[in-house]
Amino acid sequence: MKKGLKITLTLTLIAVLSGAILAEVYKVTVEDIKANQKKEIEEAVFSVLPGAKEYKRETRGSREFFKCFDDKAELRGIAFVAEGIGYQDIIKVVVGVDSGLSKITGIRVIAHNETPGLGAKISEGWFEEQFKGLSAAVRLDLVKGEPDKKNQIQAITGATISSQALVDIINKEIEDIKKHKVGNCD
Amino acid sequence: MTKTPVILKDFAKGLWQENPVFRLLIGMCPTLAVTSQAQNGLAMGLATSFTLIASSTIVSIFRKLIPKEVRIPSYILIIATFVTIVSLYLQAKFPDISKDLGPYIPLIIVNCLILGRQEVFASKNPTHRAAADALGMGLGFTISLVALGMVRELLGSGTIFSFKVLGDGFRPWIIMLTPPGAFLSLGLMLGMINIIDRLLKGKS
Repeated sequence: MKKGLKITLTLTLIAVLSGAILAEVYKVTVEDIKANQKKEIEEAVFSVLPGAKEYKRETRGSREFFKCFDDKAELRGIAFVAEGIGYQDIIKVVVGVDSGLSKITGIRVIAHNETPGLGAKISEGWFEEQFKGLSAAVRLDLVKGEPDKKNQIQAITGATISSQALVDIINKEIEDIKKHKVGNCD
Repeated sequence: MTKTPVILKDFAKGLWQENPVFRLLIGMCPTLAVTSQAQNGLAMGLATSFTLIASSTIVSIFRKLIPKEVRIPSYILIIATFVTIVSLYLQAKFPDISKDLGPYIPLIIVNCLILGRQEVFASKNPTHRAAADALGMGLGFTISLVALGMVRELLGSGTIFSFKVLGDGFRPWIIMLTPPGAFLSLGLMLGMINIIDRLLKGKS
């Protein structure tokens, strides 16, 4: 009986102390963590829509998107978070389109769990750069090697599945955003 | 006069003689999983070292108060506390590294290197020796992960710590970045270290 009490007391004491310490550490770090998350989205939104100075979060149905305005408060375009299954986990990518929903102004991958050194290259600048300025009116195609037609994306060597996944996600989500008529075309 | 050599020995054994990765072969899960880049190896090594040093110190201080029957749950609680601190700290200050390492940070809790040192060393030895042991083991683990990460990154991407080392003519060995590449490089490095060790022992 005495043994049981000692065991219970020890574990309870450790758990209570641990909880108290973690509560304090959480309080110290929570601001930074939240700021990091906000900064990440913000940076992504501004990077996919060059010239945007401000954004407003809006929702239509289940669709959430960011209306982006330049310094004269004119609508520059729409940014939205697209997500779908990659090679081994969900890929999240911020996509920017112009206000008429006709052109992709840029993309930025913000979360993925692709193979480091291979599929993970989808979040590198040179790969994201390929999407800039492409038409949002027709579907994007993935090719191996140099693109020879319009609206083609060059796949990452050794990571065709991740490249294809990203292209598919963007194609599908642009369709979806058009259905919700979020731009000036409604 | 007699105390210093013991501490030094406790510290030094983790670096070579009882190196956790290359001699004891423990903590293999993070070793294989995160070493596709030297930087991630370093971050994982440091995160594990911090947890190990803090846990060993605490466990050693309270080693006489923790009942034998619940020592493992007690160690796990203590280890989990420090791992959560590391995880929160990385999320707050180094969000990029935290994202790269993903689930492998919380998984430090079940790294058998840490639990193993509590069980065989920290719970049986005075605090200064436990701390020296943890420091040596942590440093040995970190060096091993960085070494493995450098080899894999060099052959798999042509870079070391993201600096370009091999020229444009080099075609990256993509396999080195994948799990099979982790096993291949670990196996070859283990072999090399065994040979070096035999040569060293032969001399003395």
